[in-house]
Amino acid sequence: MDKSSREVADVFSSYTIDQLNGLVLRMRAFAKKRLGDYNDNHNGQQKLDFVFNVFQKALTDIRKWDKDKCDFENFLFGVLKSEISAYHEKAKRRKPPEEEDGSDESYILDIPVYSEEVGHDDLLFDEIDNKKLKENYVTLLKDSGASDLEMLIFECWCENIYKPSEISDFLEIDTTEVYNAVKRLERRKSKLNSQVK
Amino acid sequence: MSNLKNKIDKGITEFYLNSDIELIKKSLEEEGVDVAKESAEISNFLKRLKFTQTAIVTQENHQALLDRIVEKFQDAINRNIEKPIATLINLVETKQMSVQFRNLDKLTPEEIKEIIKGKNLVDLMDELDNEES
Repeated sequence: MDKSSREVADVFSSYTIDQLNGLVLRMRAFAKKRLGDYNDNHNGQQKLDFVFNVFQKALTDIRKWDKDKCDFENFLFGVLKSEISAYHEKAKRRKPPEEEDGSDESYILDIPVYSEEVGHDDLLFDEIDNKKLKENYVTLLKDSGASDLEMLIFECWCENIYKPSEISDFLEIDTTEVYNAVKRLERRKSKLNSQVK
Repeated sequence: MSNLKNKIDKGITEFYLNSDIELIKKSLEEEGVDVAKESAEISNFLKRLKFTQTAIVTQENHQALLDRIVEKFQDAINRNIEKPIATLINLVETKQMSVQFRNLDKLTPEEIKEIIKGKNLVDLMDELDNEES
């Protein structure tokens, strides 16, 4: 037995069933966003199956958790992202070019498949080195009809403020408002991504 | 992926990682997901997961205990400690094991495991501890 699966088993045992339920539902919502809303059949797998597979792979050493690189939940979300990206890559390979429907989910295909799991935390994310890129994106957001709140949330992300509660405190607004604005921003993002380098 | 895309990607991921769970449920329901039905599926899955997790921990604990017992027997053989050696010889005789198991000095860890196979490891460990004290 690998050290990783024992560590995963230990962390699982520290969660209550309610906490695990919450975690699965968060991942379920995330999978829904990444896999699209159209239906719940993805080559015979439902969205929940993707989530369940993540847990099973983490517990049986197929996906290894390096706890020095990221915390447990970030690791699970990283694996989920990677699994969904792999699914999209596979679907893309199998799809004949003439049948492409121009779906606005194309942004998903930009996400690399990670051979080893590292979660999504990465020091490289900490710097925006291209100010012009950010300004362009702000213009694109504005032109697409983004609200002031959506723009402010985007600014928060650029300033490394990511947690909904922190954004809500920083902007002095209710978390529900942040939630709704992020969902609008997310839909907008999928349309704008093709225009961002 | 550019840094900007990474920022946006991270912002959205953090949002799902940290949003209030009631908001997530409400949102899924609004988007047509039967949360009650899926909760039942999740609950069944988590029961299976807990079972696997317990099995992993139990298996690892069993392996650790087995390794400690083997070490204790090897130590007893090396230091010629009478009681643990007698326990081992008794097991070999009771199980009518072949000659190779009777030469204690040459026993490998795997052979010791074979000799104690089927014994309750917790009881055996207690027995060895008692013999030491």
